[in-house]
Amino acid sequence: MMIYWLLALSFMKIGLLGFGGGYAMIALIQHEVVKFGISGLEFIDILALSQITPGSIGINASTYTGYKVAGLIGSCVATFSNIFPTFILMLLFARLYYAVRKNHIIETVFRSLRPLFIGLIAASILVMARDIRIWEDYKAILIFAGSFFLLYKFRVNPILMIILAGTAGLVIY
Amino acid sequence: MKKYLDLFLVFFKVSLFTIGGGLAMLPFIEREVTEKNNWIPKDEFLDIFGISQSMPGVMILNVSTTIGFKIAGGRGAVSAALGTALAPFLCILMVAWFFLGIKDNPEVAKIFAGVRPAVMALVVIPVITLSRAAKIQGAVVLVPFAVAFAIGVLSIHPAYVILAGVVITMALVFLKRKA
Repeated sequence: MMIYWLLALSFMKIGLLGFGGGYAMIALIQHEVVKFGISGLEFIDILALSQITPGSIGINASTYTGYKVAGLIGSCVATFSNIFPTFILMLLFARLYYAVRKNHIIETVFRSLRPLFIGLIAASILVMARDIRIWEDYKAILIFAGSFFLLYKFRVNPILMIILAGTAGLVIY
Repeated sequence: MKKYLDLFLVFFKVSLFTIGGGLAMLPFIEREVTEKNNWIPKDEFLDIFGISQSMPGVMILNVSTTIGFKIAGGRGAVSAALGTALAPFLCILMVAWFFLGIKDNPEVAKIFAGVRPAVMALVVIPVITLSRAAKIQGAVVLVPFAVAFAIGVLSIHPAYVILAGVVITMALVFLKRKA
Protein backbone atom coordinates (compact mmCIF):
# COMPACT_ATOMS: atom_id res chain seq x y z
CA MET A 1 0.00 0.00 0.00
CA MET A 2 2.85 2.30 0.98
CA ILE A 3 4.39 2.08 -2.47
CA TYR A 4 1.23 3.51 -4.08
CA TRP A 5 1.40 6.55 -1.81
CA LEU A 6 5.06 7.08 -2.63
CA LEU A 7 4.32 6.82 -6.35
CA ALA A 8 1.40 9.22 -6.02
CA LEU A 9 3.47 11.73 -4.10
CA SER A 10 6.40 11.64 -6.51
CA PHE A 11 4.32 11.97 -9.64
CA MET A 12 2.10 14.70 -8.21
CA LYS A 13 5.30 16.60 -7.50
CA ILE A 14 6.36 16.11 -11.10
CA GLY A 15 2.96 17.22 -12.35
CA LEU A 16 2.81 20.34 -10.23
CA LEU A 17 6.40 21.49 -10.68
CA GLY A 18 6.87 20.35 -14.24
CA PHE A 19 7.01 23.76 -15.88
CA GLY A 20 8.38 24.42 -19.33
CA GLY A 21 7.42 21.30 -21.26
CA GLY A 22 8.69 17.75 -21.52
CA TYR A 23 12.40 18.47 -21.91
CA ALA A 24 12.52 20.83 -18.94
CA MET A 25 10.73 18.16 -16.90
CA ILE A 26 13.43 15.53 -17.46
CA ALA A 27 15.70 16.71 -14.62
CA LEU A 28 12.81 16.56 -12.17
CA ILE A 29 11.66 13.10 -13.29
CA GLN A 30 15.27 11.86 -13.19
CA HIS A 31 15.54 12.83 -9.53
CA GLU A 32 12.20 11.31 -8.57
CA VAL A 33 12.39 7.94 -10.32
CA VAL A 34 15.76 7.14 -8.73
CA LYS A 35 13.78 6.73 -5.51
CA PHE A 36 12.01 3.77 -7.11
CA GLY A 37 15.17 1.97 -8.12
CA ILE A 38 15.15 3.17 -11.72
CA SER A 39 18.82 3.68 -12.55
CA GLY A 40 20.10 6.65 -14.50
CA LEU A 41 20.73 4.44 -17.52
CA GLU A 42 17.30 2.87 -17.40
CA PHE A 43 15.80 6.34 -17.27
CA ILE A 44 17.62 7.29 -20.47
CA ASP A 45 16.18 4.12 -22.03
CA ILE A 46 12.71 5.27 -20.97
CA LEU A 47 13.37 8.59 -22.69
CA ALA A 48 14.37 6.74 -25.85
CA LEU A 49 11.23 4.60 -25.73
CA SER A 50 9.18 7.71 -25.08
CA GLN A 51 10.56 9.28 -28.26
CA ILE A 52 9.38 6.39 -30.41
CA THR A 53 5.93 5.91 -28.86
CA PRO A 54 2.93 8.25 -28.75
CA GLY A 55 2.49 10.70 -25.91
CA SER A 56 4.63 13.05 -23.94
CA ILE A 57 7.60 12.28 -21.70
CA GLY A 58 5.62 13.08 -18.54
CA ILE A 59 2.92 10.46 -19.15
CA ASN A 60 5.32 7.87 -20.55
CA ALA A 61 7.74 8.10 -17.63
CA SER A 62 4.98 7.85 -15.04
CA THR A 63 3.33 4.86 -16.69
CA TYR A 64 6.64 3.01 -17.07
CA THR A 65 7.87 3.68 -13.55
CA GLY A 66 4.54 2.82 -11.97
CA TYR A 67 4.36 -0.42 -13.93
CA LYS A 68 7.89 -1.47 -13.10
CA VAL A 69 7.55 -0.72 -9.39
CA ALA A 70 4.02 -1.86 -8.68
CA GLY A 71 2.47 -3.46 -11.75
CA LEU A 72 -0.71 -2.42 -13.50
CA ILE A 73 -2.20 -0.64 -10.49
CA GLY A 74 1.11 1.14 -9.94
CA SER A 75 1.08 2.42 -13.51
CA CYS A 76 -2.49 3.70 -13.08
CA VAL A 77 -1.64 5.40 -9.79
CA ALA A 78 1.51 7.06 -11.17
CA THR A 79 -0.13 8.25 -14.38
CA PHE A 80 -3.24 9.51 -12.63
CA SER A 81 -1.17 11.35 -10.00
CA ASN A 82 0.89 12.96 -12.70
CA ILE A 83 -2.19 14.26 -14.48
CA PHE A 84 -4.65 15.01 -11.71
CA PRO A 85 -3.22 18.11 -9.94
CA THR A 86 -2.70 20.05 -13.15
CA PHE A 87 -6.06 18.91 -14.42
CA ILE A 88 -7.71 20.55 -11.43
CA LEU A 89 -5.48 23.60 -11.79
CA MET A 90 -6.44 23.95 -15.45
CA LEU A 91 -10.14 23.58 -14.66
CA LEU A 92 -9.96 26.34 -12.06
CA PHE A 93 -7.87 28.36 -14.38
CA ALA A 94 -10.10 27.85 -17.41
CA ARG A 95 -12.97 29.40 -15.45
CA LEU A 96 -10.83 32.31 -14.42
CA TYR A 97 -9.41 32.67 -17.87
CA TYR A 98 -12.75 33.02 -19.56
CA ALA A 99 -13.76 35.58 -16.96
CA VAL A 100 -10.72 37.83 -17.38
CA ARG A 101 -9.42 37.11 -20.82
CA LYS A 102 -6.29 38.79 -22.17
CA ASN A 103 -4.61 39.05 -18.83
CA HIS A 104 -1.16 38.18 -19.97
CA ILE A 105 0.71 38.31 -16.69
CA ILE A 106 1.03 34.54 -16.48
CA GLU A 107 2.50 34.38 -19.94
CA THR A 108 4.93 37.17 -19.05
CA VAL A 109 6.07 35.17 -16.04
CA PHE A 110 6.42 32.12 -18.25
CA ARG A 111 8.50 33.95 -20.84
CA SER A 112 10.73 35.29 -18.08
CA LEU A 113 11.23 31.72 -16.88
CA ARG A 114 12.92 30.59 -20.08
CA PRO A 115 16.48 30.92 -18.68
CA LEU A 116 15.41 28.54 -15.90
CA PHE A 117 14.04 26.03 -18.43
CA ILE A 118 17.27 26.17 -20.43
CA GLY A 119 19.23 25.49 -17.24
CA LEU A 120 16.93 22.59 -16.34
CA ILE A 121 17.38 20.91 -19.71
CA ALA A 122 21.14 21.47 -19.56
CA ALA A 123 21.17 19.94 -16.07
CA SER A 124 19.47 16.80 -17.34
CA ILE A 125 22.15 16.50 -20.02
CA LEU A 126 24.88 16.72 -17.36
CA VAL A 127 23.18 14.02 -15.31
CA MET A 128 22.87 11.78 -18.38
CA ALA A 129 26.55 12.30 -19.23
CA ARG A 130 27.44 11.29 -15.69
CA ASP A 131 25.21 8.20 -15.76
CA ILE A 132 26.55 7.06 -19.13
CA ARG A 133 30.08 7.88 -17.92
CA ILE A 134 30.57 9.21 -21.38
CA TRP A 135 34.13 10.45 -20.78
CA GLU A 136 35.28 6.86 -20.27
CA ASP A 137 33.74 5.57 -23.47
CA TYR A 138 35.03 6.96 -26.75
CA LYS A 139 32.40 5.01 -28.70
CA ALA A 140 29.65 6.80 -26.80
CA ILE A 141 31.36 10.14 -27.49
CA LEU A 142 31.46 9.27 -31.19
CA ILE A 143 27.76 8.36 -31.26
CA PHE A 144 26.90 11.52 -29.34
CA ALA A 145 28.87 13.71 -31.73
CA GLY A 146 27.51 11.95 -34.80
CA SER A 147 23.91 12.15 -33.54
CA PHE A 148 24.26 15.79 -32.68
CA PHE A 149 25.64 16.53 -36.12
CA LEU A 150 22.80 14.68 -37.86
CA LEU A 151 20.12 16.22 -35.66
CA TYR A 152 21.46 19.74 -35.81
CA LYS A 153 22.71 19.95 -39.37
CA PHE A 154 20.26 17.70 -41.18
CA ARG A 155 17.31 17.84 -38.79
CA VAL A 156 17.08 14.06 -38.81
CA ASN A 157 13.79 12.80 -37.37
CA PRO A 158 14.22 11.67 -33.73
CA ILE A 159 12.70 8.24 -34.42
CA LEU A 160 15.11 7.63 -37.28
CA MET A 161 17.94 8.94 -35.09
CA ILE A 162 17.19 6.39 -32.38
CA ILE A 163 17.00 3.56 -34.91
CA LEU A 164 20.34 4.65 -36.42
CA ALA A 165 22.04 4.95 -33.03
CA GLY A 166 20.66 1.57 -31.93
CA THR A 167 22.05 -0.04 -35.07
CA ALA A 168 25.40 1.67 -34.48
CA GLY A 169 25.42 0.34 -30.92
CA LEU A 170 24.71 -3.20 -32.10
CA VAL A 171 27.60 -2.98 -34.55
CA ILE A 172 30.32 -1.29 -32.49
CA TYR A 173 29.74 -2.58 -28.96
CA MET B 1 -23.42 12.33 -24.55
CA LYS B 2 -22.36 12.58 -28.16
CA LYS B 3 -20.29 15.63 -27.34
CA TYR B 4 -18.33 13.82 -24.65
CA LEU B 5 -17.67 10.92 -26.96
CA ASP B 6 -16.60 13.25 -29.77
CA LEU B 7 -14.16 15.03 -27.45
CA PHE B 8 -12.76 11.75 -26.23
CA LEU B 9 -12.34 10.37 -29.74
CA VAL B 10 -10.72 13.46 -31.24
CA PHE B 11 -8.06 13.61 -28.55
CA PHE B 12 -7.62 9.85 -28.48
CA LYS B 13 -7.05 9.76 -32.22
CA VAL B 14 -4.57 12.63 -32.27
CA SER B 15 -2.53 11.32 -29.36
CA LEU B 16 -2.48 7.80 -30.76
CA PHE B 17 -1.17 8.84 -34.14
CA THR B 18 1.40 11.48 -33.27
CA ILE B 19 4.79 10.46 -32.02
CA GLY B 20 7.17 13.03 -30.62
CA GLY B 21 5.44 14.73 -27.73
CA GLY B 22 3.06 17.60 -27.24
CA LEU B 23 4.42 20.13 -29.67
CA ALA B 24 4.18 17.62 -32.49
CA MET B 25 0.50 17.07 -31.68
CA LEU B 26 -0.43 20.71 -31.61
CA PRO B 27 -1.01 21.33 -35.35
CA PHE B 28 -3.21 18.22 -35.58
CA ILE B 29 -5.27 19.23 -32.58
CA GLU B 30 -5.58 22.71 -34.00
CA ARG B 31 -6.97 21.35 -37.26
CA GLU B 32 -9.41 19.06 -35.46
CA VAL B 33 -10.84 21.68 -33.11
CA THR B 34 -10.69 24.84 -35.20
CA GLU B 35 -11.42 23.49 -38.69
CA LYS B 36 -12.96 20.03 -38.76
CA ASN B 37 -15.22 20.40 -35.72
CA ASN B 38 -15.39 24.16 -35.50
CA TRP B 39 -15.37 24.03 -31.73
CA ILE B 40 -13.36 27.18 -31.18
CA PRO B 41 -11.90 30.00 -33.31
CA LYS B 42 -8.23 29.99 -34.24
CA ASP B 43 -7.14 32.98 -32.17
CA GLU B 44 -8.71 31.42 -29.09
CA PHE B 45 -6.81 28.22 -29.76
CA LEU B 46 -3.57 30.20 -29.74
CA ASP B 47 -4.56 31.78 -26.42
CA ILE B 48 -5.29 28.35 -24.95
CA PHE B 49 -1.92 27.12 -26.16
CA GLY B 50 -0.18 30.10 -24.55
CA ILE B 51 -1.86 29.51 -21.22
CA SER B 52 -1.35 25.74 -21.32
CA GLN B 53 2.32 26.20 -21.98
CA SER B 54 2.65 28.54 -19.02
CA MET B 55 1.04 26.12 -16.59
CA PRO B 56 2.87 23.17 -15.06
CA GLY B 57 2.29 19.60 -16.14
CA VAL B 58 1.89 17.94 -19.50
CA MET B 59 1.18 20.80 -21.91
CA ILE B 60 -1.02 18.85 -24.28
CA LEU B 61 -3.23 17.67 -21.41
CA ASN B 62 -3.66 21.27 -20.35
CA VAL B 63 -4.76 22.09 -23.89
CA SER B 64 -7.27 19.23 -24.05
CA THR B 65 -8.62 19.94 -20.56
CA THR B 66 -9.26 23.58 -21.39
CA ILE B 67 -10.87 22.82 -24.75
CA GLY B 68 -13.00 20.08 -23.22
CA PHE B 69 -14.11 22.44 -20.49
CA LYS B 70 -14.91 25.19 -22.97
CA ILE B 71 -17.10 22.93 -25.09
CA ALA B 72 -18.83 20.74 -22.52
CA GLY B 73 -17.93 21.86 -19.00
CA GLY B 74 -16.31 19.69 -16.33
CA ARG B 75 -17.36 16.40 -17.87
CA GLY B 76 -16.09 17.59 -21.23
CA ALA B 77 -12.74 18.32 -19.62
CA VAL B 78 -12.63 14.80 -18.19
CA SER B 79 -13.52 13.24 -21.56
CA ALA B 80 -10.88 15.24 -23.42
CA ALA B 81 -8.17 14.56 -20.82
CA LEU B 82 -8.98 10.84 -20.75
CA GLY B 83 -8.84 10.69 -24.52
CA THR B 84 -5.43 12.36 -24.51
CA ALA B 85 -3.90 10.20 -21.80
CA LEU B 86 -5.32 6.78 -22.70
CA ALA B 87 -3.41 6.00 -25.90
CA PRO B 88 0.07 6.83 -24.58
CA PHE B 89 -0.76 5.05 -21.33
CA LEU B 90 -1.70 1.82 -23.11
CA CYS B 91 1.19 2.03 -25.56
CA ILE B 92 3.89 2.56 -22.96
CA LEU B 93 2.33 -0.14 -20.79
CA MET B 94 2.85 -2.64 -23.59
CA VAL B 95 6.32 -1.28 -24.27
CA ALA B 96 7.24 -1.48 -20.56
CA TRP B 97 6.00 -5.04 -20.31
CA PHE B 98 7.95 -6.02 -23.42
CA PHE B 99 11.09 -4.00 -22.63
CA LEU B 100 11.40 -5.23 -19.05
CA GLY B 101 11.39 -8.75 -20.46
CA ILE B 102 14.18 -8.21 -22.98
CA LYS B 103 16.35 -5.49 -21.51
CA ASP B 104 18.94 -7.84 -20.02
CA ASN B 105 19.49 -9.59 -23.33
CA PRO B 106 23.09 -8.81 -24.41
CA GLU B 107 22.11 -7.74 -27.93
CA VAL B 108 19.44 -5.41 -26.58
CA ALA B 109 21.99 -4.00 -24.13
CA LYS B 110 24.27 -3.18 -27.06
CA ILE B 111 21.44 -1.43 -28.91
CA PHE B 112 20.66 0.72 -25.89
CA ALA B 113 24.33 1.48 -25.27
CA GLY B 114 24.23 3.04 -28.72
CA VAL B 115 20.88 4.75 -28.22
CA ARG B 116 21.77 6.53 -24.94
CA PRO B 117 24.34 9.01 -26.30
CA ALA B 118 21.87 9.79 -29.11
CA VAL B 119 19.18 10.58 -26.53
CA MET B 120 21.65 13.01 -24.95
CA ALA B 121 22.18 14.66 -28.31
CA LEU B 122 18.39 14.85 -28.79
CA VAL B 123 18.10 16.83 -25.57
CA VAL B 124 20.93 19.20 -26.54
CA ILE B 125 18.90 20.48 -29.50
CA PRO B 126 16.15 22.20 -27.43
CA VAL B 127 18.85 23.89 -25.31
CA ILE B 128 20.17 25.50 -28.47
CA THR B 129 16.82 26.45 -29.99
CA LEU B 130 15.48 27.79 -26.69
CA SER B 131 18.65 29.79 -26.02
CA ARG B 132 18.30 31.41 -29.43
CA ALA B 133 14.61 32.16 -29.01
CA ALA B 134 14.94 33.51 -25.48
CA LYS B 135 17.33 36.34 -26.45
CA ILE B 136 18.72 36.48 -22.93
CA GLN B 137 20.55 39.68 -22.02
CA GLY B 138 22.69 40.93 -19.16
CA ALA B 139 23.26 39.06 -15.94
CA VAL B 140 20.35 36.68 -16.70
CA VAL B 141 22.82 34.82 -18.93
CA LEU B 142 24.18 33.34 -15.72
CA VAL B 143 20.84 31.77 -14.75
CA PRO B 144 20.98 28.70 -17.03
CA PHE B 145 24.56 28.01 -15.96
CA ALA B 146 23.74 28.38 -12.27
CA VAL B 147 20.69 26.10 -12.61
CA ALA B 148 22.60 23.45 -14.55
CA PHE B 149 25.45 23.60 -12.03
CA ALA B 150 23.17 23.38 -9.00
CA ILE B 151 21.29 20.32 -10.30
CA GLY B 152 23.84 18.63 -12.54
CA VAL B 153 26.95 19.06 -10.39
CA LEU B 154 25.84 19.81 -6.83
CA SER B 155 22.90 17.35 -7.17
CA ILE B 156 20.41 19.74 -5.60
CA HIS B 157 16.86 18.47 -6.13
CA PRO B 158 15.31 20.30 -9.14
CA ALA B 159 12.11 20.88 -7.14
CA TYR B 160 13.89 23.46 -4.96
CA VAL B 161 15.51 25.14 -7.94
CA ILE B 162 12.18 25.34 -9.77
CA LEU B 163 10.30 26.68 -6.75
CA ALA B 164 12.97 29.32 -6.11
CA GLY B 165 13.07 30.25 -9.81
CA VAL B 166 9.29 30.61 -10.09
CA VAL B 167 8.93 32.65 -6.90
CA ILE B 168 11.80 35.02 -7.75
CA THR B 169 10.61 35.47 -11.34
CA MET B 170 7.05 36.19 -10.24
CA ALA B 171 8.28 38.75 -7.71
CA LEU B 172 10.41 40.47 -10.36
CA VAL B 173 7.59 40.55 -12.91
CA PHE B 174 5.17 42.03 -10.38
CA LEU B 175 7.70 44.62 -9.20
CA LYS B 176 8.36 45.66 -12.78
CA ARG B 177 4.63 46.01 -13.40
CA LYS B 178 4.23 48.26 -10.40
CA ALA B 179 7.15 50.46 -11.36
